[in-house]
Amino acid sequence: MNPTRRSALFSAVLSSLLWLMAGGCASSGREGLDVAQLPEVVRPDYQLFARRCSKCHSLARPLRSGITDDEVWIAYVNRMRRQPGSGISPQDAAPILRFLHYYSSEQRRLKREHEEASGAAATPSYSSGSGASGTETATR
Amino acid sequence: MRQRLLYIAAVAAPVLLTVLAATRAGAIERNFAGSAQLDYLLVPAERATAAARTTFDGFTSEVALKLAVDVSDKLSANVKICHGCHGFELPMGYFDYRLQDELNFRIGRFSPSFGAFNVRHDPANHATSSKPLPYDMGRMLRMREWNLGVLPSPFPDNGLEIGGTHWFGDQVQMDYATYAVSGFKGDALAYDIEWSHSYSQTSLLVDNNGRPAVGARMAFTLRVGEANDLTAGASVMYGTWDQENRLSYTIAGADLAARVGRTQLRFEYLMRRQAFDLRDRPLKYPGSGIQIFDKHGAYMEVERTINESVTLVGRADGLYRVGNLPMDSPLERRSWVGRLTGGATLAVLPGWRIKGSAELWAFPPRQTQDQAIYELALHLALVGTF
Repeated sequence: MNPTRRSALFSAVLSSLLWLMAGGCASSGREGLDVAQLPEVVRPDYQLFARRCSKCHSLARPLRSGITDDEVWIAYVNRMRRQPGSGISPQDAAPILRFLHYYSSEQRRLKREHEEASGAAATPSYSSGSGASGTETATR
Repeated sequence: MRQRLLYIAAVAAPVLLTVLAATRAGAIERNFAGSAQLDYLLVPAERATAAARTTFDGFTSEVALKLAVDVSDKLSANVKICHGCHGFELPMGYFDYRLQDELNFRIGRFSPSFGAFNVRHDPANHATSSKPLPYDMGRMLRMREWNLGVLPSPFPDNGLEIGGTHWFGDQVQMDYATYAVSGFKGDALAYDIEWSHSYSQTSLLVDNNGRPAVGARMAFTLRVGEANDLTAGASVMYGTWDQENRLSYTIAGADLAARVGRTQLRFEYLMRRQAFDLRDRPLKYPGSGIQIFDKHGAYMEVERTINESVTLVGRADGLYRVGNLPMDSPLERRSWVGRLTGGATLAVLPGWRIKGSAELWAFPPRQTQDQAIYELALHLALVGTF
């Protein structure tokens, strides 16, 4: 393929992705949660979670893991805490788990409401308006 | 292909059987995670003007699926299968037996602890489409001339690792690891390691010389305030790569990373000192018997999170090689390559990001030329996690 055609292909791909980006930005393009939408009591725990759990990966990884069980979160956080250079101390675990407990409860509530509203099996939906704004209804 | 699938099945089967057994026995939890990236690399220069360049320009994809199971409080199993340029690969298939945070035994197939980048090698965990040059595995221009980076990442191998982590109060974290693995391998009369002999698709994935490679890593993380931390680490690995255990390699590295609020700064340096012996094959420069070359690599990276959607990244990296070569090598006794990268990521959906980056490459002049050669490369990728 000659350079002109390659550049044209790249431009086409770029344009498509820019369109996707614009659409994504206008809707739900965020990795974490909107702090302003969280209850005040939860905000410090979320901010600690967001700081500690974004060092090696995006926040979307834990938030989209689909985990809603506290026992599972304990094992998950401990596994991450033991990663080399995680920067997550044993003292950090409690506030992080407090936030994840809140987050899981919200996911379960949203899922329940969604199921009741649709009367069908749970399907993933994205909520960006209220409650745990900017988070996905968790399904495994 | 059949051998490859048989190998993956043979390695994965014991782990999967344990996972299934643990599930029936009421394992604590299974956790699935994965990632996928589709990248398009465009090198606008005409191929005719860069005949020696070998580059995977065009589309490449990397897909990974990982399963982690806590069999008990102390025992866990991890299996990861990915598909990329080498087809199916098994970069993880190991057990962790943890007596306490400070003492963990890892047995199976894994990337031994070396350097800081390897924990972020998954394309979903770094902001650029390409890896830093010291860790490059197939995204660099003229990659065959250079035989990739200093230590192409990931570098899964079979063996045992003992490691752990300890916090001194709430401010200082110490990590350590020491390991023995099969080690890298090479063909007879080759002048460099053949990295693909360590991948799952090789026809016979066994140690070629019966002598394990050994290594160690230690790192300290210092927390400074609530939003800042500093990590410093050092790593070393030693082994032999030929069948007769005559040719050694030593890889050493140092890394420094700082997080200041929303900004991450990373610096890492690696060096590989390696012996080779071409026997009767001609060398490019005078010499005989076992030859030594040094391959240095370093990168410095700045990553700034602008908001919940946008992250900017800038990186400077390079390789420098000193030493003799086979007669037909296009490299010189002293060769280098440098690169500047600027890029951004944009979250388009939860867990999905677009990555775009531009790379300006510089190579030393050749023969009649008297100026460095510059080339441009552009990456555009969509990456997601699940």
